[in-house]
Amino acid sequence: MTRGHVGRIALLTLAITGSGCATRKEETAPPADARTQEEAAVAKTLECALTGPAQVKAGEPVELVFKLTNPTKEPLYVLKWHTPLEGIRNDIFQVSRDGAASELSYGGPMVKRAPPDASSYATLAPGESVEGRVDVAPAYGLQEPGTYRITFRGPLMDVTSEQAKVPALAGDYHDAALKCPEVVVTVT
Amino acid sequence: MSFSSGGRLNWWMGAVVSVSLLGACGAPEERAGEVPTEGESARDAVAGDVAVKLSVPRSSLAARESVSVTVTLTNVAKDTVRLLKWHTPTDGLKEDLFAVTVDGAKAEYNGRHYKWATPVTTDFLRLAAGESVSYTVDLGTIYDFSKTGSYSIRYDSDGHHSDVGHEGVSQLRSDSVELFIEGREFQAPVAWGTDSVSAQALSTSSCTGSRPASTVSTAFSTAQSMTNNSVSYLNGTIGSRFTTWFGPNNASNLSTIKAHYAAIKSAFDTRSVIVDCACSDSAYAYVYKNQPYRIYVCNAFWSAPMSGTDSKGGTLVHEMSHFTVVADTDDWAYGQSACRSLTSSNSARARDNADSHEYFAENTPALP
Repeated sequence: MTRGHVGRIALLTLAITGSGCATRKEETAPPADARTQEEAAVAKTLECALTGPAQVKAGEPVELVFKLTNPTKEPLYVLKWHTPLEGIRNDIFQVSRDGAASELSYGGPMVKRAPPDASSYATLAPGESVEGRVDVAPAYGLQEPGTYRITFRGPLMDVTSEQAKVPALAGDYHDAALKCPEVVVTVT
Repeated sequence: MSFSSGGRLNWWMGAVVSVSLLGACGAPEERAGEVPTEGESARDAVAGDVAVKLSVPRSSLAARESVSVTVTLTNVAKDTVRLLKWHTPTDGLKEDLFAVTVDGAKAEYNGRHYKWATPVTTDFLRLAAGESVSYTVDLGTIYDFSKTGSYSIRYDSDGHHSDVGHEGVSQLRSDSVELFIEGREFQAPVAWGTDSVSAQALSTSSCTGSRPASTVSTAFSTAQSMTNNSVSYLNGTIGSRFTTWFGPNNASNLSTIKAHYAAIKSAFDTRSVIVDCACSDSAYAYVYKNQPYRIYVCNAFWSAPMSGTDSKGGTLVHEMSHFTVVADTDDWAYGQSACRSLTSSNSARARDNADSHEYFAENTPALP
């Protein structure tokens, strides 16, 4: 992919839960609720690629490229919150160092958002991709030599194919699980 | 404490400033070039180096209103100077720093008197030429305002206490502000848990113009009231207010949430909280979890109501809950609708969610 890094692509089915929930729940089953037939049918597939440098020197940036692709035949609107499409404004990655027991703690900002507007969304036309680049080194402190494993926490907090639902009103978000491939970076 | 220069949504800048001011530990590693220079020389301020200005939101206060005064210190000298922090409200009011009179008679100082050790480097506040800092303090908890009348309040760091051996280190005086105050019973600040009693110590940074420190001060008091109300509720009958935001009512969950609000209350009541108004992002606010107790408020904060859902008071509760040393909450969901859903989809996350703590505290609409 970009900059000659090895790219891995994960294909994932995004089941839009319709729970009105902009949550970061990962493997929990969507709550059974009164979701309509129509909403249930809006299951979409987005592709996620997350790539980064295989090796950097200590103190250098660790720039990750997060790329979302819409392989479907309709446009998709994706809320950029908690994704690299808006930079790092929350604890959106899980970072561990080989040999260390616990995750690296996140030292970046925790931002309480105002209700979203249209500009809070990325629009992906059929076949189109969007990309966000972030340097994870300062926020997660990838300073010491070692091998680090970085995963995107997800989910996407709101995804819809209906322009009328952009932005989601009154917190009626439809989140979608998204698992991007793990990035392994060695700091020397 | 506050620095009126600086500030935009550059979080590294924010991080670096906080670190340099608070001496906060556990901050992310700074990169070369972004670390403020330490060890740079600063001479002790002498009289006239630092201008002191007092301001009050209104010239007349009813008995239920707090006597909130904003102190602005500006270095008007041509070089960097240092001040003893205990001559300033940097860490709360720890000395008799004001001359308060009512109809010509001295109003009693009921606050603390410290015996200070010989100052070390960290006991000094540095101000570069032209730099200013401001603090909003609630004088009602330390001076006697029981008499209704015309009060005169002046800042005078040297006039009331003796710190032998430190005379002349700094001299800070302001002009008087005159205000009419309706008498109220003196109420000493209430101790909480094992923390020591202290006066409210809110300071602000870049809170001027359409983003006034007085509004921040009211928001802070509102956040304290909401927190006190939350603590009281948790000690009484638990009903849907708890289960709506935090899930099942059982001993373990209740104990988790009680501990969170006790910590939030303690932080509001006893820590030096800094509210920074420089952010112009569309968000409400943000913090760095490992840099207590600095809260950055942004555009949505200023258009929010003072209390109720997604209010100024509630936003400060939300932000305070994030700090690792407070309740270490995360942002799993935003907004009332998503937070309600969280209790059924993953209630452990509801109990770790900052907005859920805010909505419980705001309690709007009120739940039993």
